[in-house]
Amino acid sequence: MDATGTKGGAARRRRRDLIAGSAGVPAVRRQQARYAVLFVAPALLIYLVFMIYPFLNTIYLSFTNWDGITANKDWVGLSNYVRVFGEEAALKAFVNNIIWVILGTVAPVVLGLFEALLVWSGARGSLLFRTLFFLPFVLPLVVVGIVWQWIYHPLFGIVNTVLDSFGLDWLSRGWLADPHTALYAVLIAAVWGQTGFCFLILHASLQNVDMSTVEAAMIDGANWFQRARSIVIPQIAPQITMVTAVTLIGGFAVFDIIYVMTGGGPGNASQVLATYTVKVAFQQNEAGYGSSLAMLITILSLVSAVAFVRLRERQR
Amino acid sequence: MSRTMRAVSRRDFLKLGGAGLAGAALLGAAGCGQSQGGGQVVKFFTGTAETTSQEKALIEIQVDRFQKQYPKYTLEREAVPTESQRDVIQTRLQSDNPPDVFSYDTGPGFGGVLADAGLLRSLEDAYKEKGWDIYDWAKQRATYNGTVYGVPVQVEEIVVYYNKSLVPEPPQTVEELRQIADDLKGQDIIPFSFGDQEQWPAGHMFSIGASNVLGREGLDNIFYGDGRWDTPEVVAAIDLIFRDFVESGYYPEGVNAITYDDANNLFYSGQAAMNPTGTWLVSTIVESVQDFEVGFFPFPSIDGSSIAPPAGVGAGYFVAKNAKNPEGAITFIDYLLQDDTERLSMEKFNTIPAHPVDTEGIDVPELFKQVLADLSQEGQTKSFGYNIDVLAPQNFNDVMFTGFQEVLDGSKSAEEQASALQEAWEKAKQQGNIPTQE
Repeated sequence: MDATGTKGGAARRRRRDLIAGSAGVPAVRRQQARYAVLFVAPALLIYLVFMIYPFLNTIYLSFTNWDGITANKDWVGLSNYVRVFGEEAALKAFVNNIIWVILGTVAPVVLGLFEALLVWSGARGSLLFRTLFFLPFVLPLVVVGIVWQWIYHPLFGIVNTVLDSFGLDWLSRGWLADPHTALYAVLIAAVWGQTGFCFLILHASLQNVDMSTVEAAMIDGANWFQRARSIVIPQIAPQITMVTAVTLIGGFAVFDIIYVMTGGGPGNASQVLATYTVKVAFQQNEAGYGSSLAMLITILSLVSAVAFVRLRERQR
Repeated sequence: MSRTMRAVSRRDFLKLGGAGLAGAALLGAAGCGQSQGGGQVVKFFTGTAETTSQEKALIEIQVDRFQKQYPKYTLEREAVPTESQRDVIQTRLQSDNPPDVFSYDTGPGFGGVLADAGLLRSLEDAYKEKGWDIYDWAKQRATYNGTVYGVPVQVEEIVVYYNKSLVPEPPQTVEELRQIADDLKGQDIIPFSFGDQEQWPAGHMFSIGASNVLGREGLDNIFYGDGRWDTPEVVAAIDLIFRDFVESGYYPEGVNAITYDDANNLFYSGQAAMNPTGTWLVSTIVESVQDFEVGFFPFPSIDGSSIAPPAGVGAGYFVAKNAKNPEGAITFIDYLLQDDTERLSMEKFNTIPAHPVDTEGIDVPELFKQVLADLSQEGQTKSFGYNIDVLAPQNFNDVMFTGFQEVLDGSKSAEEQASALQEAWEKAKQQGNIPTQE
C-alpha cells in the first residue's frame, strides 16, 4: 500500500476527522462545564459557608478549651476526647444514645412496615388507618413532646389515670421523673412520632410491588406472613434500607423531644449526646468540650449509617 | 349565567404582590408592634412575667410610660421565658445587634460569667452620675472583679407560703411541720407543692436547709472562708429535704416531672397546703388565690438549728458592652429606679426595690405588707441566710441542680451530693470563680 493509497488515505482522513471532531467535543464540554460551575457555584458557596466551614471549625474547636464566649482558644490536643471517655455523665449519655438508636430505629421501622403492609393488604377502613398512622408525623417533635408530657403527667396524666382505673395503681409513677423509666417513656413518644414517617415511605414503596408474584404465592398457598416475608419485603428492601438509615442517623442526633420532655433528667437519666452537648457547650460554657461531643455524634452517625448501608448492599 | 375563571397574568400577579407588600409595609409603619415612640431605639431584653396581666402591666410601665416621659426614645421590649433567656443571652450579647439593656440574674454564676467574658459595660460612671442609691450589700452582687456592672432590681426572700384554712399555725420546728404534713396527707392533701422539673427550684430548697443549719455566719464561712459543704449538718439538711420528705410523701408524686408552674397551681387550687418559694410570687398568689387566705413562715428549725430564711438580690439590670445606645440604656435604668416608677412597680408587682423608696401611702396587699415587715427585721430580730445559686459559680450551680434531682429520685445519697458540691466548690475556688467580699 502506497502512502497515498486509497485505503490508507481514507483511514487517515477518518482519523483526521475523528481528531478534528474530538477537538470540538472538549471545547463544547469545557463551555458546558463553565456553565455548570456557574450554576452550581451559589449552592456550593452556601454549602461551603454554612456546612463545610462550621464542620471544619467544629473539628478545630474540639481540640481547644474555648469557653464559647471569650476569644481565648488554647490548643489542648486530644484531652477533650479523652475526657469524653472518662466522664460519667458523658458515658451515660453515650449508653443512652446507643439504647435510643437501637430501639428508636427498630421500633418505628418494624411498626411502620407492619402498618404499611396492613393498609396495603386492603384491610377494611384502610383510609382511616392510613390517616391515623400518618398523623403523628405531621406534628413537630416538640409538640409531640409536650402532648406526651401531659399523657405522662404524674398527677393528671392519662397513663396513670388508666392504670389506676384498672386497679394497677401500683404501676402508677412519675414516668418522666423516675430514672428507670424516663428514657423509655420519651422513647415511646418519639417512636409514636417517627412511625408515621416510616409508614409513609414504606406504604408508597409498596405501590410498586409486582402483584403477579404476590398472586402466584397466594395460589401456591402462601399465607399473609409468608407472602410479606418472602415476596413483598425483598421487593421493598432498598426503601427499608433508606428508612432505617435515616432513622438511625436521626437517632444519634436526637435532641428536641428529650430537651422538651425531661431536659435530660432526672439528673442525667435521659441524657443523650446531643442534649449533653448543648448543656456542656451553652450552659456550662465549655464550647471546646462540647465540640468534641458534637464530633463524636457525627462520627458515630456516619460510621453506623455507612456500615448499615454496606451490610445491606452485601446481603443483596 | 356562566361562570368563567380567568388565569392570573404575570402582570396581575406582580400588581397584586406589590399591593400586598405595600399594605404590609404600611401596616408595619402604622406600628402594629409593641413599641412606638421617638427616634432613638433602646433595646430591652427581659424575662416574661408570671401572668399575662402582669406582662401587660409591665409593658405599660416599661414601654408606654417610659416613652411618654422620654419621647426621644423608642423602647423595644423583648420578653422570653427566663430559662430561654439563659440559653440565648451570651449569643445575643456577642451578636452585632445586642440588646442595649437587659435583666438577668446577678451573682458570679450569672452576671459574673458575662462580666468575665467582657460582654458587660461598667456602670461605675453611671452610678456616680445618676446617684443611684443601691444598698451596698446588694450592689456587691453585681460587682465582679472590683467593677460594678449591674443594678440589682429587687430584694427577695424564700419562705413557705401556707393555706390558712389547711394549716392552723405556722410550725416552729421540723417536728411540728411533720405533724402538720402527716395530718394533711390524712386529708388527701399534698403537704408541699414542690416541683423540680426545671432543676433550679431544688437550689431554693437547698438554700432553705443550708441557711437554717449553717446560719448566715456558717454560709459566709464557706463563701468567703474555708468552710465546707460536706459537713454532717449540711448532709442532714439534704437528707431531710430531698430524701426524708420524698419518702414521707410530702411532695407531689413524680416531683422531678412537676414544673414550677404546676407546683404553684397545686397550691392555688388548694390541692397542696404549703408552697416553698420566693417573695417574687406574692402578686401572682394575690391574683390567683381567691378561696382562702395565704400566710407565710420561714422554714422551721432543723434539730434545734437557727431559722435563717434565704434572702438576697434576685435579678439586676445590665448594659451590653456593645450596646448601640448605652446612653438610652442608662436613661431607661434611671427611669426604672425613680421613686414614682418603683412605687408603681411595688403596687403592681409587689416587688421590693434594692434601694430606699418612700413607701408612705402605698397601696399593696396585706401579704406583701407582711413580707416587707419581715424583711425589715434584717439585723434586728432576725438573721437571713442566702439564696445560694445567686452567689455560687456556674459549675457549682450545675452540680446543685442536676445532683438534687438525683437525690430526689433516690439514685444519689445526701452524702454523695454534699461531696459533689464540695468538689465543685473547690474547683471553682481554684479557678477563682467564687464570690469575694469587696
